[in-house]
Amino acid sequence: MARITKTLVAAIDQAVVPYATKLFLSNSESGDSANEFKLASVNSFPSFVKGDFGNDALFDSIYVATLQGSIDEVETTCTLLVGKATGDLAFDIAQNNQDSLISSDSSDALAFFDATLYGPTLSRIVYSLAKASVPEVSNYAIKNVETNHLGSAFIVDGKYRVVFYRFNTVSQRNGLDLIFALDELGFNNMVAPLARIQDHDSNDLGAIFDCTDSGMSLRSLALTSLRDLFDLGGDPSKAGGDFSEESKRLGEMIGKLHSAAGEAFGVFPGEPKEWIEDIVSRSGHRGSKASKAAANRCEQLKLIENPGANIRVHGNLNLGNLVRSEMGWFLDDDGETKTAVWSSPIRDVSELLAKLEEMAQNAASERFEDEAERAAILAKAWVSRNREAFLEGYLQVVESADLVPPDALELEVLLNSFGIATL
Amino acid sequence: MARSLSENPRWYQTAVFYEVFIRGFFDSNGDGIGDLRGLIDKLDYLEWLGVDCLWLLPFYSSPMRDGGYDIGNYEEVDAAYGAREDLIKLVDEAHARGIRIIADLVMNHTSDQHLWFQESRSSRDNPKADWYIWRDDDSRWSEARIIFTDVEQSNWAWDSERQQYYWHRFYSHQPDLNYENPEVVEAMLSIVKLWLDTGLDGFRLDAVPYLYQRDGTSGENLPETHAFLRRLRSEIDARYPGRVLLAEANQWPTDLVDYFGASDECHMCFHFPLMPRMFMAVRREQRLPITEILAQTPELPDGCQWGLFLRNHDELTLEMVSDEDRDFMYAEYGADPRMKRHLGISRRLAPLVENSRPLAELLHAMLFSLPGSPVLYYGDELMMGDNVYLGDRDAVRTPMQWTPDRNGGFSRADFAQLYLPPLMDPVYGYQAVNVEAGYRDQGSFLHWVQKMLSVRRRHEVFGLGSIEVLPVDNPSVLAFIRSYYPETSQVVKESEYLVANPDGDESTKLSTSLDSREDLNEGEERCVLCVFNLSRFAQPASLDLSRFKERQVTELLGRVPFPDIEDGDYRITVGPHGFYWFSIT
Repeated sequence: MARITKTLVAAIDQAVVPYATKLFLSNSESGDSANEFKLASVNSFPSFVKGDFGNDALFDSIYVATLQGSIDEVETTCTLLVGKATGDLAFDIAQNNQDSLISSDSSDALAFFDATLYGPTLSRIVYSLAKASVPEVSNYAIKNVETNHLGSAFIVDGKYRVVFYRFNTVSQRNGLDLIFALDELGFNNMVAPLARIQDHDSNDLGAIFDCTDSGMSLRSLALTSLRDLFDLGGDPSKAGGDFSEESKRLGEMIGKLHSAAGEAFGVFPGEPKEWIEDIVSRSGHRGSKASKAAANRCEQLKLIENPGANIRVHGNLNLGNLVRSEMGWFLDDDGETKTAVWSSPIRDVSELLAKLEEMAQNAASERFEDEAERAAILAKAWVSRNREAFLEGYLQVVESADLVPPDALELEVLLNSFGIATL
Repeated sequence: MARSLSENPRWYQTAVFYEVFIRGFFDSNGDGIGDLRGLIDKLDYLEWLGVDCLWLLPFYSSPMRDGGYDIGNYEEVDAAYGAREDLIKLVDEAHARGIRIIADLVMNHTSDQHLWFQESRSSRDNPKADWYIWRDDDSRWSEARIIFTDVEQSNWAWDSERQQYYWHRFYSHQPDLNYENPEVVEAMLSIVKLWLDTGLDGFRLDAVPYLYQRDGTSGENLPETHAFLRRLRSEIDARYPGRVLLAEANQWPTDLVDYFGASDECHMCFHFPLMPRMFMAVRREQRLPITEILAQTPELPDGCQWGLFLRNHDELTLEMVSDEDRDFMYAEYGADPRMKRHLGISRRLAPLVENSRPLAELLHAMLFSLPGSPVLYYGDELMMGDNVYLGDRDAVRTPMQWTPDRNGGFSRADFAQLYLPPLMDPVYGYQAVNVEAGYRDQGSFLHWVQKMLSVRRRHEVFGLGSIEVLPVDNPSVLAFIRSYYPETSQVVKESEYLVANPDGDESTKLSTSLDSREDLNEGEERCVLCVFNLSRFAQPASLDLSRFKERQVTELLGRVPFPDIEDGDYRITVGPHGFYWFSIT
């Protein structure tokens, strides 16, 4: 195993800090450039990541650089796989693979590169990570699904999806806790998690999931339905692309998700006061006026007699991670949720319905100018029909579990209150 | 050289079937009713069209209260259609053109006019007293569903002569035979042999799930029924190799597959649940209705095949869809209450798709490329219409439209003498929609169907290949790969043959020249990629073809080379209701 010398650490420090800072900027909502990441440690890959990587010499030239900084005032740890290349390889990377280049010397004889962006090393890393957790991985058939500042996702052997994170705001990824707990309870409307990739201190670096990439996102299905309605007009219930049955099935699935989460982490009495704080705080990004409006809107929430339960909710349901396959709706979640969210299950529901509404309105606004007004009316009718169907499916599942207010009016108050945080 | 009959005993796996309603096809003797000699007269047309097997609706002697499915005498051809000699001639003439013939056989029930039933009802102790199912009360087997819910209230009907109830799963004038009685089994086997001896190539077995009943069950798909089918199959295999049994069993795919047995029951079964979902998918503009049912469709046993269809002589049956989906289908395709029949919609293909040529093409392209042997319904190749004002299922059984002449060229009889009036409306009427006009017009739907069938014939993968549905995020795009490894004997060789045009007075040289790269390399995997846009708007799709990296893509209809598959992510755009068939070599 390669020795980590002071010279090497200094070189990596010099190379990766500007690179990580650039990544940090792209991940920042405020775009605050004053913060800078600092190199915290450099480790050899095999000594850092749990697993048996054999005698593969490749890993002698790959290091794990851990950097620390803050993103939007949140302390963040960033993990980068840094490759060190010399000779022809360094030249090739510097000249032909600049996307993965972190830095190189003037003669291109020594280069540091982002090993998750350079194909030849990337495939070996992903393969080794997958093989360490799922031994039946058989070859190097690796397909890159997505690489961005947050991390990378790959399909291995067409059977496994390997996710490798870059940013860690907490030592353990709460999103993964939720997914593995749901899986243990037999909640199967979800991409099955198979293994966690961790460092020797049990911090999560990534995870491996069953590969089910045959689904269609909620966004694409809903847009198909809307497109049909915009074209033909009329009552959404009569449209060929009517989406309400799907909405109902989706509602049932989210209901099952919440029931399972309650079973896994416990069901506690609702806490409207904390919910209001959460709503007001989340409305804050639209300015103090929005926060104030949210606070006013939440007044009714204080008066609710039976607010339902406080449970570990998902916290980030959206139009992209809810996917429909031939087997039904499922949650395509790779554990990216940053913190555990405890709230009313209606927080998830409201958030999702609000996103659906926003998507419908956007779709309407993208029509030709002379159609937009009519499309907006149709979109409203579509949202109303599908909201109703979703809630019908959802409530059928959760009502018996006492998760939501039994009173219809109080339920509506919750839906409206949480909804405002998402708008 | 005319097309010759395939010697492959599994011919049905790659065949295209064509359903003929003899009564409505062509009337040779001017009595207003189509007949067997009329069908012989039109074999040249069917050969030109490129079908491989005709499926004849029941031609047996019948009081015709249910289109011949109420058989009055199993051993005779109905006089209106001709005689047994005509059938033998039809079979010979068809075989000479490379076309096989199968016939409908209704084993579950007879007409109440059948001599067997007349004898059975005459007393409680006559020799055929137990050939049907008689009871003193009507309470037994209440779990069995009523199939024609809109016209029948019970599966039992009272017979005042015998003073007992008799069992019937369909109309009350169609009493069920009692297969618990070995004499009935033997009688039916004799009937089968009688007709196979004429040279028929097999049977489409009507209503097979209902042959037996048992307490506490739905009376469908019982083990006893399967045991009978095994017996029937073994008798046929022993004496009539190469003949086919095609089951009509309107069931879920998991139940349907039982009718293949261990390759020792039926050779083929209609895939009923797929059909309404194809219509549903194009109306919803997304593929889930189709891919969901494909995902639930089990693997076929060796030597078996699905029968696929868009429309047939019955209503567009909605038995195998959920209540919600049935409501949707009624709303979308059966707005006029007259269109609703039993649990379905009584319409032909063209009116179902509002006479949209692109939609008709899209649906046929799917029919011809999904796993199974396609079954066309007479007249649909012309985009013929229907008449919902006619009673029962006659809406879709109007005369075939041959020419713009009197009675659409179907018959020389007086109009009033016709078994049903031909369509005469300005859109679907015979003046506009007929074989003669379609044949003259190279851009007609008729020519399109003929072209598609000729392309399909060159690629056995459509009949023999497995299917892999590709993941596509765009819900409006359905993409799948059909692939198989041919055995040496199955490789189609280049050939040329002559076929007569529909009028039979001149011949056209057709070439089935094959693409040497793709079709003549034995042992190489044959792959066809099929992509369909279910939407009325153009759609993009990104297909994961990584396992075909660096292979060539050729569009099958025009042999147009498309860009090679470079990095596995293949991006294409499909026009409104468009489709592609690509070979991947």
